[in-house]
Amino acid sequence: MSAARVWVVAMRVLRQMRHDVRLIVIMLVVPSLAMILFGFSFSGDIHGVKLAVIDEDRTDLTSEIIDSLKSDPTFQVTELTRVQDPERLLLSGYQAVVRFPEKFTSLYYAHFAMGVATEAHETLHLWLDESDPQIAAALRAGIADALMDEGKGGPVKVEEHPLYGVEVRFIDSFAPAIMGYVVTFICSLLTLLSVVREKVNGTFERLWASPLRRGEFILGYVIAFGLVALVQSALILGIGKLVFHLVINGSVFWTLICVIFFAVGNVGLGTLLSALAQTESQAIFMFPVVVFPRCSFRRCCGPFKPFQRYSGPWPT
Amino acid sequence: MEAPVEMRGVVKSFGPIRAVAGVDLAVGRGEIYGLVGPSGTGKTTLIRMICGLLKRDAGEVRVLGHPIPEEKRKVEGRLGYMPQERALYRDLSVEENLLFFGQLNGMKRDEIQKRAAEILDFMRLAHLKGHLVGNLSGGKKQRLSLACTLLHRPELLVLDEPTVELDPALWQEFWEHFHELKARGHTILLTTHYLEEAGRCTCVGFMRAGRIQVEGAPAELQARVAQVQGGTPSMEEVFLFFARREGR
Repeated sequence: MSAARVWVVAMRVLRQMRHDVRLIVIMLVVPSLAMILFGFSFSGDIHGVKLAVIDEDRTDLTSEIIDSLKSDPTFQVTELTRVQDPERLLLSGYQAVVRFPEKFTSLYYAHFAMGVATEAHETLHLWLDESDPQIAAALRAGIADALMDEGKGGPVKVEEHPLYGVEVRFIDSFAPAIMGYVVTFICSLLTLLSVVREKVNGTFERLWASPLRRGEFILGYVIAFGLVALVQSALILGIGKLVFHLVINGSVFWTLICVIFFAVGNVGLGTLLSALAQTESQAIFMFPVVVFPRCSFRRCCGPFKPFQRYSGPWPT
Repeated sequence: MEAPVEMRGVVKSFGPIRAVAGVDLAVGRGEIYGLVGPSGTGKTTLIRMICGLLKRDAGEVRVLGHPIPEEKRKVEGRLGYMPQERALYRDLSVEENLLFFGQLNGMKRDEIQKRAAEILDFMRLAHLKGHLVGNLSGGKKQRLSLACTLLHRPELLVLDEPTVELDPALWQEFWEHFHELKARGHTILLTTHYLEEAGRCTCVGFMRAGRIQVEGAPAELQARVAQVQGGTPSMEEVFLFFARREGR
């Protein structure tokens, strides 16, 4: 082996990159973007979980506990003045509802006075959405902390009323994100590479000299890869449901429709990014731009961290 | 009747590089016009402006009577463009490529099949119609690229280096076909850097540094050179004569 020849090859590769300014920019921007997004998403605690509090007892004791909950950044507490149906509150956007029943305080003190457990009346009720295990765990820990802060943890029993995800397993919360990833990878990457290949092979030249319009070209791609996405979505959903028995709340049909829309959206994204890439290597380097944000935002099907764990400047 | 291609004072620059520096060009109906010159003299840029793929910086471009690129839509379908790259889908078969480009130009499937059989036969590709383009040799891809351009019988053929990589026998057949098309009233504008091809055109424009240095029928240009040098100059000698005269 000749070190000189190895060096010559290495220099040639670097020279090639030097001539591709777009590739250099992508190579510098993508890792920086990835580090920033991952840094924000993996740092910090969960905060801003929307919690509704129904205080039917209205005593100093319940006020102290509520103040403690309010001082915890985990929660964004809304104190409700009138009694409302907790399930309806969860459906309207709250992630948990805490209810202090009437006589909560008197029975609490009775417990100390008489040394007798009267569980039925000193119970704090917690309605929560358990479909997100990380948020559910943060909720439990935050409420336990608030009770302990006030030194009231001992005699109070927290009775949970989970609305969703009663028997949620790890795969139930993780699989939808993986399904999203599969659709993203296949639809965006295939579209991106196919369109860029048209540029590289010169077929664009022939197409634009023909009566074909740019809109027709893009729509054609969306339809073709949309059909591919339809088959893939059905496969992914079918395997998830039949092999892994995923819990799907609601209609499987509408879930499929949502996955299809997601896939078609990804085809559009691939087409959009293809406008920025001139070569296949640029296209491949551009792909992390699609993937990294999704790793970070759970609501965009990122599987790692819930949105409430963001410490970044973006609004939640 | 207007000339199929007319250009007046056309200028096109890419940053500091002036690729086309004031070109006047008129290609008459039924003509085979050859833009001849070495690489980098602006031939492809000129052709891309004629096809509406590039916008001129100054001047006027009219194709089949319409200003280009302003009225490009009125010309599409009447124009056949063969780019320098083969511009084919490598993962489609020969037949599928023809079908796709034919349909884009508004042809019906039956019509395409009939025409494809005819054109593949002429290009000696009929036995390969089911083969993937990616598996064909360079010359065969070149023939297919021309077939895709000719498929919809365009009035005006704009061919960028159409005879590159052809074997001598096929090269001869290509030229016979070009003259056959000319006889049927088609107009052909082609670029080439093969000087021997210049002699087969009805009109030649020698390009240098973004300008058409000299143009005329090959016999006329040869006669002009013969007046100075005597004898019967070849097209290569004609080209060199005008290149030297311009101070190269």
